[in-house]
Amino acid sequence: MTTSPPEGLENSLDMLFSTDPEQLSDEQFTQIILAFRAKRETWLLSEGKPAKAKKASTAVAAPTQLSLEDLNL
Amino acid sequence: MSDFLPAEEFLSTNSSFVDGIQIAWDSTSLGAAKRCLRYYDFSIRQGLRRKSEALPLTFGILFHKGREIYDKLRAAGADHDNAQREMVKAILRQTWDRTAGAPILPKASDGVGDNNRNRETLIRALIWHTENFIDDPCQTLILEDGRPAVELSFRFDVSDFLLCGHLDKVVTFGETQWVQDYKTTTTTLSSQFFDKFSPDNQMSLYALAARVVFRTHAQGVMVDGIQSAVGFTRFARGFATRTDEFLSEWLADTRRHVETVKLASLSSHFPANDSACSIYGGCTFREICSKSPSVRKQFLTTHFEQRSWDPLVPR
Repeated sequence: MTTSPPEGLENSLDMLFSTDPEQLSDEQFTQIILAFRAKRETWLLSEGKPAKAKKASTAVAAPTQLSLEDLNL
Repeated sequence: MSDFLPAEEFLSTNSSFVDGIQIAWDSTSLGAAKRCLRYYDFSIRQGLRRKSEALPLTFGILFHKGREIYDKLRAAGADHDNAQREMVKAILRQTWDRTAGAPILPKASDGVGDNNRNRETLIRALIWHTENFIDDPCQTLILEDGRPAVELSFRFDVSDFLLCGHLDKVVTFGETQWVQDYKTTTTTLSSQFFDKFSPDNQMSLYALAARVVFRTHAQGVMVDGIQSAVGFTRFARGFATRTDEFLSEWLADTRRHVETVKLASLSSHFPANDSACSIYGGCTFREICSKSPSVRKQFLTTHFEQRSWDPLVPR
């Protein structure tokens, strides 16, 4: 099954995936998530299924939220 | 076999063995022993693993780790976007080799890497999975002590040995409770995929542990299948139900298997079960066992590495 992700998505992902994650901002992590959400919606449509999950948000999460450090993993 | 330690020396640092006898068993070591005693000797006692086997294992472990982060953040009150971002951040960091300045789990290129299981398909699997189950009817069980029932290490005494392992998650689904176990695969999630979990050593142990150790009313295991392909990740769930009677029989059988291994260990004789060489997708040691005994060691050093498997080491 082939999919047709939005133009420029692959290049953008390639760039983000070849960058040291310590250098990525929260906004760039969100970009990665949005790109994969878009790919999923494209794939679901190609499978004839509606994208059931919530619409992808374009907002960067507020800085007061929980992080890994809060979990004491 | 100059690169490998002999079993006696190798086992001296493994806390699950006392005087060469295994006293703590997880599903991997039990499964190995039930399958073939020589396979058990090679894979558990001597810790021999085919070098190319590391990739599926690493991919699966990292998927579990990502889901653990997401689930624990959600249980702590984080919203979906927040938990998803922290999960992606953590797994991208864990899959970056800072020394090499390059990612681990590369795509296939120049004979290295894999197009189904790589860093991008791992992140895709985690994002798609958390999107797919954003309104999951299965809710993480909160244990009596207030902890979410996620990535639970367990061990319990069955009189002459310990059973131990790790549960991915315990969930409520309607009025029922289930152990939930993630299974990443590159094969199609057909009924054949799910049929293989009943009966199944690992699922029986997990169902028993959920009832005995965590005092849940788990009816069995909900297998959460994750198919990682080149262009997509697909999900499907199946149920592996276990009754009390079934688990009693499983435990009685397990005791007998452990006794058999003890006898084999005392005599240092681990006979091959040559009826099992072609099942399980073909034994990883089949090529070795097909050689004459005197030349097996040189073939082992070429394709295998030695890594301890200690069920008592918590995740």
